[in-house]
Amino acid sequence: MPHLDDGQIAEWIDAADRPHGQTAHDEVADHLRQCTVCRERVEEARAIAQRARAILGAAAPAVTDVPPFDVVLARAGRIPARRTTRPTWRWLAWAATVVIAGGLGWYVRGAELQQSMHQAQAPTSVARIDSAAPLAAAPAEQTGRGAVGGVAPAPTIEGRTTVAPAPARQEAKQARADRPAAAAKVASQEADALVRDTAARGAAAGVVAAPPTVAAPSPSRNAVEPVAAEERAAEWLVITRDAAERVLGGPVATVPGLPVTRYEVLILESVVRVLQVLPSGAQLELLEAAAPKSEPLAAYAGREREQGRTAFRLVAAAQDTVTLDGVRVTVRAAVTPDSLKVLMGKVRR
Amino acid sequence: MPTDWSAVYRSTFPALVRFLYRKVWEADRAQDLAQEVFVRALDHDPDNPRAWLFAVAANLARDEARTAVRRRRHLELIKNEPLTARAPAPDEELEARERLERVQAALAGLGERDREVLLLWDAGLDYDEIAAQTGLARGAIGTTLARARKRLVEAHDALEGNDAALG
Repeated sequence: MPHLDDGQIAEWIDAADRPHGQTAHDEVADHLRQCTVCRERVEEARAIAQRARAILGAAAPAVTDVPPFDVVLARAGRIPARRTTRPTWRWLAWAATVVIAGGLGWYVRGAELQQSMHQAQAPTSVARIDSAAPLAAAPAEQTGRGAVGGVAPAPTIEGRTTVAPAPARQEAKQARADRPAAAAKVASQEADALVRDTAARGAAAGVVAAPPTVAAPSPSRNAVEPVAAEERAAEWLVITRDAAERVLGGPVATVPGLPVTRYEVLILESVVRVLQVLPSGAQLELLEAAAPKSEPLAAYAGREREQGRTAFRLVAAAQDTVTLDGVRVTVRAAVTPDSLKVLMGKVRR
Repeated sequence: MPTDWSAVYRSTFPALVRFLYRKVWEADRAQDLAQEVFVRALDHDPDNPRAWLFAVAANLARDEARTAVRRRRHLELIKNEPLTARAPAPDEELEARERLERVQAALAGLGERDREVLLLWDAGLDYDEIAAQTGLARGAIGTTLARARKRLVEAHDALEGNDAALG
C-alpha cells in the first residue's frame, strides 16, 4: 500500500472513535503498523488538529448558557412566554425599597404629594441630542421643555396601528389603588427599571435624563396589582429582526444609522418594540403592531399606565406617532420635542 | 418517530451558538440566531435535524453578514459621533480581545469552503454531515479539513508572532 494521503490521515484521526468503513480502517491500521513515515505524519496531523481546536476554542463565546427550551417554544408561538424568575437577592432589594418608599409615601401627603407626582410625570431633566450630531439639532435652550405632550391618538387606522392611551381604563384601575404597600412596590419596580434603563443608555454619554422622583408615588395614582405588573414585565421577549418582521408581516420601522440594541415582541399580542441607541447614549423606542390587531397595542399602552410604568417610561421622554406606508409607528425617546421631530422624520421601514 | 426537539435543543444549542459566533462575532447575536434556527426547525420538522439546523444557521449567518455590511455603512454616517466613550481596557481584556482578533483574522484568511468545513468539524459534525451540508464529496472532506486546519494554525501562529514582535 502506498503512503497515506492527507485525507486518509485526517479521517483516521477524526474517525478514531467512530470508524467509518471497517475495511478502509483496517487497511490504514495495517499500513500504519508498518510505515514509520506515515505514523509520524499521523502524529503531526493530530497535533495540528488539536492546535486548531484550541485556536477555535479561544474564539468561543465566554458563557454559553442554554436558555430553557420554553423560550424557543414561546418564540415559535407554541406556548405563552413563561414568567421570568427573579433571584432571591432581587426580592430582598425590592423589599428594602418597599420599606423606604412606603415611609416616604406616608410622609409625602396632600399638596406635596401632588407636586411629587407632577414631577414624576413631567421631565426633570431632558437628555438632548447633541447639536453637532447629524440626527438632531435641538437648541440647548429647549432642554427641559415639556416632553410628554405627544401622546398618540386613539387607533383608528387600517392595517397596523400603534400606541394609544387608555385613560378610562387607567381611571378604573385607580379605584383599586388603596394599598400603600402596592404603590410602594410599584415604586420599587420603577426604581428597578430606572436602574436598568439608565445603564442601558450609557452613563458615559452624560446625557441621560436624571432619575425622576419615583420613590414615592401617590397611593391614589399609579397603584397596581403587583402580580399583574410582574406578569406584564415577563411578556416582552427578545427576538430577531427576522422574527419581528414575521410578527408584523412586513418590514420593521427603525431609524437608519442608529444601532439596534434589540427587537422585542409582546407575546400573544403581536406588538413589536425596537430599541435603538441615540448618539447621546439615550434610548430610542419604536412600537408598532401587526395588522389587524390594533386593539392590543392600545391595551398595552393602557396597561402600562395602569401598572404605574408610565412614571419611569415617559418621564423625560417625548413621544409621537408617524405614519409610514399606512402603518403607524410610535416613537419615544428621552430627547427634546424638537429633537424628536427630527427623529420622526428619519424613521424608515 | 417524531423528533424530540427538546433533547436536540439541549445537545445542539451550545455547538450551534459556537458555530454562529464564529460567523457573526457577537455572543448575544449568536444566541439569538441559534434560537431562531430552532424556531424555524419547529415549523419545518426536518428529517435530519442536526444537519438541517447547521444548514439554516449558515444561511442566517450569511444574511446577518449582509445586514452587518449595510449597518456599517449607516454607522459611517455618524462615525464622528462616538456612541460611547470607551474606557481603556485592562490587560486581561486587551489580551482576550487580541486573541479573538487573531482567530478572526486567521479564519478570515481561509477560503470560504475551508472555513465552512472547519467550523462544521469543530461543531461536531461527522464527515457525512459535513459533506451533505457543503456539497463536497465525502472523500474530499478529509483533504479539505487537513488543509484548513493547517492553514488556520499557520496563519494564527504567524499573527501571534507578529504581535509578539510588536509587543
